[in-house]
Amino acid sequence: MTKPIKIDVWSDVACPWCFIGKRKLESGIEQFGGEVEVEYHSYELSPDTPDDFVGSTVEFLAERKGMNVDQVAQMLERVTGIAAAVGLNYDFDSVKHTKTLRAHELLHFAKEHGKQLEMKERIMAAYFEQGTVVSDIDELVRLATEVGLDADAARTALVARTYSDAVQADIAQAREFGIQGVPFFVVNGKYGISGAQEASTFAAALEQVRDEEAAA
Amino acid sequence: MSDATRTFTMIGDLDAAACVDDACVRPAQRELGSVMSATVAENEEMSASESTNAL
Repeated sequence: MTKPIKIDVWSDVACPWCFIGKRKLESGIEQFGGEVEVEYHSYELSPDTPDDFVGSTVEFLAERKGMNVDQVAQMLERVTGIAAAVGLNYDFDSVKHTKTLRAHELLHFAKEHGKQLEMKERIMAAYFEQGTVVSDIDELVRLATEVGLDADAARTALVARTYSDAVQADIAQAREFGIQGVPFFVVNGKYGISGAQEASTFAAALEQVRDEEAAA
Repeated sequence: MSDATRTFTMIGDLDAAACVDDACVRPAQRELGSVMSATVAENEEMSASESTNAL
């Protein structure tokens, strides 16, 4: 029996291209047809977001980064269109930009309980499509229960910040690898794929790795 | 300056859409004007200083 191909993904739950890239990766894996194991790793795209900030993406970029409001709106409109093409319904009018570290801690909690992929999907959909504040512990616990995780255990982990070190370790690993943008995919620890590539790119990469493994 | 291309054998389009800092844009597409320019300048500045905020 051959070993599954491992894909490590660095992404942030608040990264629009990461959700699009997730869909494209899933399509690529489906095209490939072989056994693949995906593991998500934490990456904080806006580490300078204040702990208590909750606001629209436009507000954050315009007020805190000094970007032009019209052009931010144009950027978001464009990415919304691309998201729609892969079946995602981004609603930037309702998106609440906020600190994402706690959401990443929940992803580590979910990983430990075998539910990381479901949790990642649920948090990203909540953020981009449903206007959920993904730094809010009550909201995170709600999302955790929706994927079958224990509410009390999730809350305890979030309040105690049990997985904070694991999140920081992922971020440090990304820095060590030289990852400067997300999503970033690492296939079998050897190949790097940057950005929301086409599904066919993921499929071709997986076929290449499978062929190399078979020849080795 | 660290760079993932020195760590991994890269596959696919290096200019594929990705998020760097707060700007989620495709590096090759410059039509976003000042949003892009501001971000590139900011990121270059961060990279030059090896700022951890570049992550």
